[in-house]
Amino acid sequence: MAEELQRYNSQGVQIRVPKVDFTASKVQAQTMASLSQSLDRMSNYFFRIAEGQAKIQGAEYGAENAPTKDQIKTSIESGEQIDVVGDQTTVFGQYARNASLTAVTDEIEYMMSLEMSKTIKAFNDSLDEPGSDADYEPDKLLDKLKAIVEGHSSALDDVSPGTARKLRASGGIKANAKFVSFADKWSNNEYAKSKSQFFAKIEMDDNELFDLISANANDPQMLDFLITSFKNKRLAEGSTFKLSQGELQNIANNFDTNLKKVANKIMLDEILKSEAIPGMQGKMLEELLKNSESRNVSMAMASGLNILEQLGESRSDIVKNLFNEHQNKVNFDQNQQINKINNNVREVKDVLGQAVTKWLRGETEEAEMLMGDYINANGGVILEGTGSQIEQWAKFKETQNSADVDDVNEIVIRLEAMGTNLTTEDVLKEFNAGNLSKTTASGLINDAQSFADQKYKRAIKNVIYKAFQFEENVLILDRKGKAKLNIELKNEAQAQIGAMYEQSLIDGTTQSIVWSAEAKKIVDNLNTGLKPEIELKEKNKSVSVIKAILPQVDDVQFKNKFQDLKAENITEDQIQLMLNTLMKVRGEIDSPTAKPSGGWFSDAPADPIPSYIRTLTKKSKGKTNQLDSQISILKETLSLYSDD
Amino acid sequence: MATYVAIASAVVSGVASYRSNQAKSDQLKAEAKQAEIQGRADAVEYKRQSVEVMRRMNAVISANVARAGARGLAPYSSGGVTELINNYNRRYALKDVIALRQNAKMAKGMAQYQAGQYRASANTVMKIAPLQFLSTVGQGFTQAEMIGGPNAPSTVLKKIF
Repeated sequence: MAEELQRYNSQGVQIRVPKVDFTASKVQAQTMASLSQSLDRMSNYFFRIAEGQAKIQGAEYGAENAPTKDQIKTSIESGEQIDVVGDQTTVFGQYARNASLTAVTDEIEYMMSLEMSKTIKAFNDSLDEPGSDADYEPDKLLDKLKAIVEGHSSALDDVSPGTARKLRASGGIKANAKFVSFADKWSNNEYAKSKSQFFAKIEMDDNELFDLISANANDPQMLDFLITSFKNKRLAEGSTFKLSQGELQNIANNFDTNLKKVANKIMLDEILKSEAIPGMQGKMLEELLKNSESRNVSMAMASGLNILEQLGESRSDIVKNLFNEHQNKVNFDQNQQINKINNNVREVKDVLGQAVTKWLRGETEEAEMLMGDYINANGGVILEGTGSQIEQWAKFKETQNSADVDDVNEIVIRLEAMGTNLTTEDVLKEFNAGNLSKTTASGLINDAQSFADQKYKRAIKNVIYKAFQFEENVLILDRKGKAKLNIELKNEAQAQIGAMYEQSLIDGTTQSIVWSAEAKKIVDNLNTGLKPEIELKEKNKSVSVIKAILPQVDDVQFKNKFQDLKAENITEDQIQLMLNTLMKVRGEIDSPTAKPSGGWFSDAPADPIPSYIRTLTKKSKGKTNQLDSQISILKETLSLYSDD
Repeated sequence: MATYVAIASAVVSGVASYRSNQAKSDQLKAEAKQAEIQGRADAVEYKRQSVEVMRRMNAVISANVARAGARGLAPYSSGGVTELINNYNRRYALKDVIALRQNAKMAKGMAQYQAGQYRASANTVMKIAPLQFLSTVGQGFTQAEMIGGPNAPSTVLKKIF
């Protein structure tokens, strides 16, 4: 029964305590933490600002109170440590110390560089001295540079060992660079000095060669040995300078050439010596000409012949050359003599002309004094070959001292009829013959000189001025191109004919020279010689301009017009084309033409300005002076092609 | 110009920070109310559950009484089997009901406590807000002032006032 009754099944309900979130505490903690962080940030920020200010103030203080140049100098010289401001604990102190150390380091580096430069300069200057000074060799420089670096850097050893090390390192690097540079220069200089000494020694040795051959002329074998040794020694010395094969060959060739000269000189001296012996004049040369193999010559002559034969010359050629050289020497002496006489005659003629003029003016004493320098006590000549002039002077004086004569009318008429062909010589001849009075002779001499001067002046005006388009009353202000060329040529022609005129006054040939023909000759010479030379120079300038422009142009067609451009073949068209191009560029710079642009749905119309003009315009914008100068050069060259 | 923008930015940033705190405070207050409501809802649920327990208990007791009557037993007789079993059922059911009532009470009480927490948080946030406002504005102002020059905020403010 009991089993049939129901029992309540418990639900198993338990006490549940709801969870509570302690938000208040959390929020308070969070908010306070956030506020604390915010305040921390703020205080950090102010600390940072304060630190920044301390840094700046420290750096300023350090820089302001850094040791002075004199203090640093004294410290370096005395070996005492430098005092720097600041400390290593506070920000202000650290920055003051750093600034002070930087200032000191900079100053020391500067002083070190200055000291090094002074030392290097002294060492470099020593290289220009002719000799070698042991005090200025590279190892001495190294010692000095080391002392400079050490002396300067050690001043900071106790204050800041790190900075001192840095200073040593930077000083060492500088010193090393300077040392290496000097060592290179020194070794090059030493090498060059030794080389030049070697070549100087060659010159001196060459002079000794003559004495060597002369002294050993009697012993051909010894002489041969000595010459070979001499040459080998020289080549051996040369090889120590690492001379090239070519240079060594040159030394050997020069030795042989000099040997030939010396041998020739010895032989010529022997001939001259024999010429001085009475009865022997021409005998030695005659003997050799008859028989080139003859042994009947002096030992010195035989040695000379042997040397030349060993150098590969045949005996007959040697003799032929010897004869020619001797003949040349004789001719040279004769020419010297003739030149001397000509000069004497020119000098006396000139003085004679002046003396005659003075005499005719009544200044007889001055005329006598002038001619007195050329007449000795016995009435003979002082300068060789001037007898005719002295005789003419004596005759002139004789005629002058005699009573004046009347003019022979026929003679006067004949002389006057000669017109501009009249010369002083014609007048003097008739005067000395007693056919002219003093007055008429003087007048006719003046006329003759005046005619010659007029001919000279007319030649300048009618030939030279005309040839170079020069007008006396026109002043050309802008001397460029052809105008400049013509003026240069005119000046050159005038200078040449002027020099000729001056010389003719000295020679007394003013009246005999055909001035117009001489002027024509000078003009022709200039037109074929100097003119093309100047024109080529001008054209070269234009070629340089065009060659400088072309690489900036990308238009192949335009470039092709200047292919293989040279001063010798440049044409007027080419210069004109480039000039037009540059003028267009100048125009574009002054007033640019806008580049046409298209619309939204249409292409831009063709640009009326070629692309290379636009490129050149862009490149020349900042260089208008250069552009103007290029235009001016082209214009000048173009004017050379004009006909007028 | 840059200085004006800097000052304005600092002030706006400060105001934004203040507004953010205000919003957070409001949010916390709302959460407090929500916690109270949730507590009440939980209490009602517990009560509903206790009623259900009672209902089931009554159903079992009634069934037992009915069954006893049908068998010829005195259903309400004292000390009988039926009463004994029904008392047993009553004891266990009441145990559940008491537990559920306790839960309802605690849910309510704890919800109020939680709401109190939220309200305290809201107050804390609002207390800190002015300090944060001043901190943000002050920092911005000082930063701008440190730039210096004729456009420094102090100079600009002097010009304005």
